[in-house]
Amino acid sequence: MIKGNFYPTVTTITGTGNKFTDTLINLNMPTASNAYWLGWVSEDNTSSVFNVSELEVTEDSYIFRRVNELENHNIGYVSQRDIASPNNTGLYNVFVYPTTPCTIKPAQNLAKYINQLDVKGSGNSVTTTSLLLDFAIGCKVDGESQGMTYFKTVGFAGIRAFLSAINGDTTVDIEWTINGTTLSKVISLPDLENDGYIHFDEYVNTTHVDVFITICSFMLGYSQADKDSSNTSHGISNILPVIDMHIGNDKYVVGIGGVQYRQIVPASGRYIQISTDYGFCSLNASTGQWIRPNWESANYYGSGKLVNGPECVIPKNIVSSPDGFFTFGNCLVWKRYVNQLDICRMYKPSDIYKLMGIQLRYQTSITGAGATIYSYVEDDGTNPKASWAPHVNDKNEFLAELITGNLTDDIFKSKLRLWQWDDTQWELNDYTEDKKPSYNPGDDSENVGDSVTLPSVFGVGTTNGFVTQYALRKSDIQQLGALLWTSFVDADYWRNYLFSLALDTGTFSLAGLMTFFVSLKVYPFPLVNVSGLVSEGGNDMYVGTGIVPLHFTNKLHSLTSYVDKIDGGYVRVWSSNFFGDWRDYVNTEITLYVPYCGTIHLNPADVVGNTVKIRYVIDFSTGGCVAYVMCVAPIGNTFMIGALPGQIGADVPLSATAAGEIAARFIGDAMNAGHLVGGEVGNIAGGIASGLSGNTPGAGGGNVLSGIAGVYGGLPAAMGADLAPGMASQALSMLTRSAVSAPLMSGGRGFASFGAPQIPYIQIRRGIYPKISKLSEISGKPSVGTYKVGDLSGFVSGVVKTDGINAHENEKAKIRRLIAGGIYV
Amino acid sequence: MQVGFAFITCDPLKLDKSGDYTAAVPSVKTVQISNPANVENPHFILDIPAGGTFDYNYCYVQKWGRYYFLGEPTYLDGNRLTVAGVCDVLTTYADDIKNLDIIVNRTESAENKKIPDALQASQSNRQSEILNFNDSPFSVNFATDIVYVLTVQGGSHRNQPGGGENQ
Repeated sequence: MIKGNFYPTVTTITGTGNKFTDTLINLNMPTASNAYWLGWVSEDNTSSVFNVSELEVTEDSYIFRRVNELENHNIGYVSQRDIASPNNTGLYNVFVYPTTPCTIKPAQNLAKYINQLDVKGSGNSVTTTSLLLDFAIGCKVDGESQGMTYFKTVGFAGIRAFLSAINGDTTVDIEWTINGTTLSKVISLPDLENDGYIHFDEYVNTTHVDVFITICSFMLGYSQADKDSSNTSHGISNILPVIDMHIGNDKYVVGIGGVQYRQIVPASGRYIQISTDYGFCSLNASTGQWIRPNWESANYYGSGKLVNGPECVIPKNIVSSPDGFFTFGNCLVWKRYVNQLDICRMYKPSDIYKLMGIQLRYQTSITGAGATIYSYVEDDGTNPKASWAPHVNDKNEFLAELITGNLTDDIFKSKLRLWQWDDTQWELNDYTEDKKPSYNPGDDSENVGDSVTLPSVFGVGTTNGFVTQYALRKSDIQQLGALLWTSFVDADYWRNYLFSLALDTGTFSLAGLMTFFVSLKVYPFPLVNVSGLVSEGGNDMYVGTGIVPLHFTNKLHSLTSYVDKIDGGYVRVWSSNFFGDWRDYVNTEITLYVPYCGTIHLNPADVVGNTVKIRYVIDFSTGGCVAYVMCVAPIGNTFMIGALPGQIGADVPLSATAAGEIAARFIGDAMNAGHLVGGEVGNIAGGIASGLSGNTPGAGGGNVLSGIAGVYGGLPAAMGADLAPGMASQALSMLTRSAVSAPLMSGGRGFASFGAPQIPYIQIRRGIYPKISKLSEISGKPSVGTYKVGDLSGFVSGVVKTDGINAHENEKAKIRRLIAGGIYV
Repeated sequence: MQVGFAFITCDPLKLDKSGDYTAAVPSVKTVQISNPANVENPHFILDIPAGGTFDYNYCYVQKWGRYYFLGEPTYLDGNRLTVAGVCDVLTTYADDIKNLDIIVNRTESAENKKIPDALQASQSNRQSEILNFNDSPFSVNFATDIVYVLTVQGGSHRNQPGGGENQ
């Protein structure tokens, strides 16, 4: 058993060619026993220098296929690359595993290959610093490499597992970099061997990486020290690890040689030719047990069985068709994806996170429409929280009833996947916005507000006998003005109307009529959205105790309540830019802009990951409003986090001046038209003057009348022909001129607010954190909890109680101090 | 005196250094410990072969069962030198320490992402992001939509539009 140190010293690779055939790798290989090479090399018998001329790496050839040939030269095994690819020429699977110092140092053109190795080192040299080689997973994000490409990594991982197993270690440290963040995991080799796979998923910032590590063929060879009496090595050292990765929506299997296999899900009855592109099947995946690949093609390598796992069985449901194709029943099929760079693609985080945040893992095979699919929600990919057999609807989507409670905040950051049947096969899609689970506020705003009781003023009607509220269109307003202004041609109508006013009020004046108009307000939303809007009724508007109604062309609406509510929309406080950790809560400011009410600060702890919803309650008698800001947590709790008063209804002036002007025009037109007798005019004029200024009747009449021409002629020509003169046109001209910005930090005020942003939004201002590489390795990350020191790894700091150590007191104190400051386990 | 010398390259704070040193080729002829000896901070007196060097920074004293960091050697005369040792309590008691319960503050292997990391510096500039609401009720056509509310006195004792007789 090899145990101890791994100190490579000097090895050189020299050559001038761009292929390995032209290159000589000189390895200062010790002659001591049980030294290994993992790599296809041959030994120069005389100098322990290995000539690698046989090691040919070309763009279209196989390499590293010779196994166990150097048994007499202290060479164990050469890592292999099974499938050549134009994009993967390289030395990435060559490993050196000596027990005495050795270094690989590339030279000249080989540097590019060695660079691809990217084992932790510097320059072009590759120096291992521990027995366990680090392994990294990389990927392409938007065409840019993020860390290593992971096909290299696979070989590393497998070989690390192999090396660890040789050494009797029980864990393997793996590490990968994605999106600039380094993550690490400790894999339990016994678990790997017993279960056949290791699964974990991680969030790198907001990118979700889901990894299965499966050792499909794991037959450890013997070291040279384990030769039998015939001096024959039994080394097989056949490693074929497979890493199953979920990247974005796609699921990949990565083979040791850098060959990736992407899962395909053929429809039942669909034929697939078993060729070089297909080769990986698994059965009964519902057990979580992955079964080794069945490499039937010459292009695939591997045999044997999963360690402690089941024997490989050709899926029973694969039925050969007459033309040599196969249909797959209850199995997963993996198709080799030729263009490796392409399949290394990562989705942009923003693409990944268009969903809701529930992750489903499908551990059963999917055989087609009508299949029973068992799924479960898990937190961080470890513990199922709920499981069920989701209903497959008639569209062959199984999304119904996914959210069944027991969901935690952790799960909320997971993702939901949707399998859809496209008439030919199942396809895995992101869960889209329009298929939100029920906790998200949907079209029915009532659901969101249920747990917030709105004020009981609702239902207070306007039909209290004092006022009536009419909900009108622009054309109604225009007509109202027209009725008061130009419809006076109907002498009988107005005569009757005016007399009716006199009967009702005991006076006889248009000023009296205007005083019945309490207010006219305009709102920036269609009142049809208000529940208290009465559906259109008759064409008549009654004012005061008017016997004769004002008659409109349109049928009119009224409001039944002074107070009503409208839905202000919602947004989920989450995006691909969130970190997914403490940084989303600390040093992050979140403000909410509420149109017509202003902005408020929100507590990140309340809203991050949750949905913020606005409900406006509006007082139609004053135009005032209160915006209730509510937070909808994924588990169904809704709570109010703010209430902002504002002004949403803008006044259309109905001033006494305006009334006087209208009255004056009314009278002027009446006189011009000759429809009123002089006595009536005198009465009207006197009444107006009295109502406006309190002057004695008649004294101001001449002034009013004299002002008619000026007012009438002063109407803005820009109003357009569709605007009637009079009160309505004044109101609309105000509206026309109102497109000005309003201060964002305060509530709305009248027309000016109509020019402010009309859509609520949340602004997030977060800190920018420069990446600190190796932070975790050197100083760990914040943690809490009680552990055994030996159960942790890497940097560890904390408080210990030194009971049970047979040491001097000052030694114990030293131990406590050192651990408080941090040690490396 | 059974003393094994080695050269370690790992961080002194590494708990178990047993995998980080090589068994040195014996190049020390005799080893003594100065008297009186302090078991935690002993001084070693060594004789090395003629022309030899002393390139060790670590040792193990079997008698005391302790590992020691070694300081710079002081050459006395001839091939004799003295070197100070400081007990490496971590490796000496590594097995015991691994069994200790620890209330952990920081670690590489059990991160709690919700706890702020004081070592993660933040730049003074900020990143800003806007999340718009899904929809706004304030989408209106002032020319055609019902957007005006006219409040009039009385009137409700007459027929209301849509409301029938006043209530």
